[in-house]
Amino acid sequence: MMHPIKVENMSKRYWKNQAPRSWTFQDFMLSGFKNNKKGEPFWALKDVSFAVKQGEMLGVIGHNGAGKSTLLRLVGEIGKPDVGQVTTVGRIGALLGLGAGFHPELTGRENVAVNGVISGLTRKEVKDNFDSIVDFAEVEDFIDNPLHTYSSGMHMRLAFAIAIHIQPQVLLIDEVLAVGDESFRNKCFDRITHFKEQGCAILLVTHSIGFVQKYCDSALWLNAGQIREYGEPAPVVKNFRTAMQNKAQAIEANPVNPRAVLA
Amino acid sequence: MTVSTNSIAAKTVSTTKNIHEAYEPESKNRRFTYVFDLIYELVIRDIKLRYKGSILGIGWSLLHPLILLFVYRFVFSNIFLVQSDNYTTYLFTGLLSFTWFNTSLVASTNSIVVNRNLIRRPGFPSATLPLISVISQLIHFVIATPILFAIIIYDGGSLSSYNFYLPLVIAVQALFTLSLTYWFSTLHVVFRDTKYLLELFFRLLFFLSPIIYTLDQIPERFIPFFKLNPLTHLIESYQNILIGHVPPSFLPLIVLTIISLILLFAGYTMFKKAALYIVEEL
Repeated sequence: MMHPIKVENMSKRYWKNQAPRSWTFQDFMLSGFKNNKKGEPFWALKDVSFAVKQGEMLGVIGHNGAGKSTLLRLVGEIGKPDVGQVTTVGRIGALLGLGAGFHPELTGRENVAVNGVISGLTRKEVKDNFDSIVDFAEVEDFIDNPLHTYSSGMHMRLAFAIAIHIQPQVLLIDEVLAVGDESFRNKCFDRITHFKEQGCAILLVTHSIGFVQKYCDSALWLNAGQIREYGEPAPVVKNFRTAMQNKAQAIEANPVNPRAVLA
Repeated sequence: MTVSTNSIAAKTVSTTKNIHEAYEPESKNRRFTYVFDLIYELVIRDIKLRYKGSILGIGWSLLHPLILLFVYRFVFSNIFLVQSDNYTTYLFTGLLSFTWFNTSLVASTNSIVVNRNLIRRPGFPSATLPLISVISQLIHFVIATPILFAIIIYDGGSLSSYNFYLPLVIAVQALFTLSLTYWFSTLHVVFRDTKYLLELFFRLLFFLSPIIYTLDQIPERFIPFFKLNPLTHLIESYQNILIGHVPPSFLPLIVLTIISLILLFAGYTMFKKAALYIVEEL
């Protein structure tokens, strides 16, 4: 069985308290040469390995700052791991950073054209899918109005509708299932299920653990950059939930200094 | 009941077929079409946005150089008394080509930093961004060329078959600009003063290029330094074609093309290597 997403012993390091490397002349003059030290290393991800099969959806859960988004970005080849390897096969679709390249002065139609190619479609594919995109986003009546007249919901729906019209072999999703109303969410979810059926490998980062338990084929619990548990969704989610409850109780028991508990 | 069973069966069939289809590696052809389409759409966006909401619209492309010309013409013909045949044409040719080089390089230097939200999308070919800036500035420049011909006629000059060399010189200048963009746009990511230094540098370069004065007016001993400035050769070529009605001198253009190709190749390679670093710095 082929694995469209394969991550082997991946580690990613950032530097804490580091002098900004993209400095200006002013920073340089102010700090002189003394601020050249690199700061302390901070491992956003440490020795993470997993693989996603065709038609498999892997849900990544964990607390804020556990490294979920870093993980997603590295799989999307935005940045490079310091140790280990990421391999993906096929076209990558990404439901993250939606609406990149949207411009408020341009009409909905013009924005679909631009954002469509940015999302990975060719011009012909944008044209062929145009009606379907507009229909999906439910913005037919406003498509020739400038984008700045759109409500934030319309904005998001349009961005989402475009992104979902590519035929990805690898799909990266970052907490975007909170778009629109119930019926729109269902539509999005149908579409994602459809990708799955077509053999798309899906990596999903979310805080909604109920979703992971219900729909994902496997779950990965990240804690402080390391894999805490990886496997069937039900037990992973259950243990994660218990850990969260313990933490919440601990904070309740010690309300004076919640930070001490969290650390 | 039967209906749903059927649809499940149909789904299973289509699933197996689709998996097969879906895993064909992306063809080189499609990638090529895709990158071409991306460049096309982003150039169009650039051009649309430039004039969106302004009353004069594309007219600014024409009016801006004309007003500049008017001011320079007044100062250098009436106050500094620069003596040259067809001085208006001479001035306008230099101004147009210099302004193009200037705006083009500044815009493409900015292109990576400004478009960080695009670069942070998986699979986005960030190497297209400097190219997109150069192309949209090129179009901008080409839009202004009819004014150039109008000025020539107004100035008592004439058009000649040598004008057909114009696209050649324009192409060399575009290539030269492009060859610098990968270096400057990468540098600008790391060192945000690049833009300001570049603007300052262009102030100086303006007075060190034969735009407001002619090469004949420069003392002999400075000439070799002027010859080191690529813009000198480009502007001279335009002037040969438009005013002198002679072909451009090919040797400097060929040398410049070769240098540009080397710089472009090296810059592009460097950019590709730095791309993953760039995306984290933004």
